[in-house]
Amino acid sequence: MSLQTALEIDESELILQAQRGDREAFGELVRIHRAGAINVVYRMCGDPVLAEDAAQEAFIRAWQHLPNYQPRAAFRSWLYRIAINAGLDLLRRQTARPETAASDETLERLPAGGSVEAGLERRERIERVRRAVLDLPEGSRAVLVLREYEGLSYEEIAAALEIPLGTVMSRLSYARRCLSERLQKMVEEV
Amino acid sequence: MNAHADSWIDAYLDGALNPSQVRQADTHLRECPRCRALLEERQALSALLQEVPPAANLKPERQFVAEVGLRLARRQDVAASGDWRTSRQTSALRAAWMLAPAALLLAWAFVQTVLILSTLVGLVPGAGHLLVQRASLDPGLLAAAAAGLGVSFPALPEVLTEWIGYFGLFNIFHWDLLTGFIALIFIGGLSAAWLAGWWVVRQNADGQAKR
Repeated sequence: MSLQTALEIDESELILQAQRGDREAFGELVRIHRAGAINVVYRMCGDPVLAEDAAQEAFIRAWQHLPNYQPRAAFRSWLYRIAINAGLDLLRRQTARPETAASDETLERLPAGGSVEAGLERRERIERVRRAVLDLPEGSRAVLVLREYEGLSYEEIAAALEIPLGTVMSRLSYARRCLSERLQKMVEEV
Repeated sequence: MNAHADSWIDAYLDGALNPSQVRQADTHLRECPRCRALLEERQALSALLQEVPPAANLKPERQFVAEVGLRLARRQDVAASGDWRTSRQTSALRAAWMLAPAALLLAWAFVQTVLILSTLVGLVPGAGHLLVQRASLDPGLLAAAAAGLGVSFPALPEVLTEWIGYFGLFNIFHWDLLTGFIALIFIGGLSAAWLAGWWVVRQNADGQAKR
């Protein structure tokens, strides 16, 4: 049995136990999917604090609706949809989208090396790419984030967002075309 | 796959093509510089997107999990608590909602019974005359009850009683086809309203679950 299959079986067991009310099992699911849920929301909304808050809210909603979860969709896909909705809900409740630049702590995680000037250029480049993604329409942004950053397949994205496969493909194509046009010079330099 | 890559380049990049389609795409890309350039552009974009780091400076895992547990407990306490009166009212409303279909079924059965008895009364010679005699002895009945056995409903608003009387609903056991039809339409309307309400509640519950 492959490692992937063993992990899937373990997770299925955790989900079953959690559905029976086992909080320990649910806590384990939270540990497993915490980073993914936070990052999906972060990529969608651009605010790490909001992302953590939304991810916590997503886990609470997931617990409340766990009896309705059907294994036909991967747990991760199901959770990510809840997380994206929670993030967008929190974002809408804010009076205006915070003009949050990537924090210094985030940018300090960039690989070291090179001159100061190169470092500044890289930071600026990262910020431009981040903003370009945040400016995409929500539907296209969600598909792009799930594909590029979480590696979900088209089918998993369709299940997560409850949209047809064709819509996944058209939104992804649109998102990539938009980003290519907007970041043309940077794309050429890569 | 002779068409240019615009429609399939993303699927090719994401490994979503089947082996046969991949072979065709590879052949086309070998021969078409335009599509090769498009592929390289997409690959460069993907590399650029990967340069953006994930969220940093997050809470420690243990703290995050503990906070989820606390928020969950708090949410469940709020849900469980609440004014006992409100919960009793809610239970009563819910019971009434669940019993509504049974009540509508009984009402339908009642109307059908009255229609059948009205037909039987009509078949018995002289029965209509007897009913009119009974009605004429009580001057307090509504004018619409003159043709049959009248019933008075003093609690109902006057306009409503006039309308009900107009359609002969007070003429129990002497209903005509129109009266029965009106009654069934009314019950049908209530049933449809209950079904619509049930569907809306169901949709809201599904929407909540998905969110």
